[in-house]
Amino acid sequence: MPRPAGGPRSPESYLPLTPATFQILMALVDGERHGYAIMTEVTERSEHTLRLGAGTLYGSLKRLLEEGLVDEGAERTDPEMGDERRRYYRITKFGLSVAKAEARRLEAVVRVARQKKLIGVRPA
Amino acid sequence: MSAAERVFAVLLRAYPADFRMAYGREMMLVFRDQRRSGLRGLRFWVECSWDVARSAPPLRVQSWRSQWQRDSQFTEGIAMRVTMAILSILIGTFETVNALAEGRAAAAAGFDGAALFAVAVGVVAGVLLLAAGVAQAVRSARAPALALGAAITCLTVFVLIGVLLPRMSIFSTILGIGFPIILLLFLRFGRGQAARMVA
Repeated sequence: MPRPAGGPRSPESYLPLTPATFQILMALVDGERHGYAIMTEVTERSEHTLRLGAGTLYGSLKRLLEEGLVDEGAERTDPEMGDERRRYYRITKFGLSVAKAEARRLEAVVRVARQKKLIGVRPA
Repeated sequence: MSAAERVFAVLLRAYPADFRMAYGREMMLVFRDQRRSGLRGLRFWVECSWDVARSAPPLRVQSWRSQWQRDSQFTEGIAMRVTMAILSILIGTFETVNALAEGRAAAAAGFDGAALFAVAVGVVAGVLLLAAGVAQAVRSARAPALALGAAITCLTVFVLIGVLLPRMSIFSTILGIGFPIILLLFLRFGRGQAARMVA
């Protein structure tokens, strides 16, 4: 899906991403996934701290598709999930640059938190 | 469809129709997968309801906003087309009647060839504008071509009359030159937009 009209936006202009959006993009970095696979990956990777509901997931995917960060792949069945045809989603090149920009932003935040000894210090 | 899926289908009604059309089936599949993976009970239903309550209102607002934008663009498109049609009819009628009145006055003063030519082309230009206005009003397929022909003819005629045979009134000449320019601009920039809005 094409990016919205009105001139190209830089990846940084999308920042900060919401946790759900960033997690969805991260789940798609490794390859195409259908909705439920994205949902389970987000739950597992966030160690159950972030659980996406179907509405939040597809609301975010709709927005990501409109903004050209995610693309729709072919509709096919998942052999592990039964014989229903599922729509697969994949991250676009632009979506990947947005995810990288967000990761860099978070890295900088973590660096500051470390300097201020908010993390990385063993409790006494 | 199980009872739980029927309840979830009711919850899905909270989302706008276009969103349900696009993602309703996928959401139902995800719900089914969640149930298969063992998610059940009150906590699961509270989470489902909370997710719908949180995600549906922004999607509703977005859907209303885009619907409202489409409606107002549609109205704008119709208003633009109708305005141009009415102006074409009024100005075409005025130019025709004015050319005939000028002809009558010229006849009283004794016709010469130049006056006859000015009256004839003035009437032709006026009638063309009138026809273009009617074609636009009835949304004829020929309206754009007719309007383009009328605008170019009218512009040429009134520039020629104004420069070579300044017999028409100033008001009629200004209108005969100014309106075709507006019509040409509408055909070049406004019509495509109006057509897209009305389509």
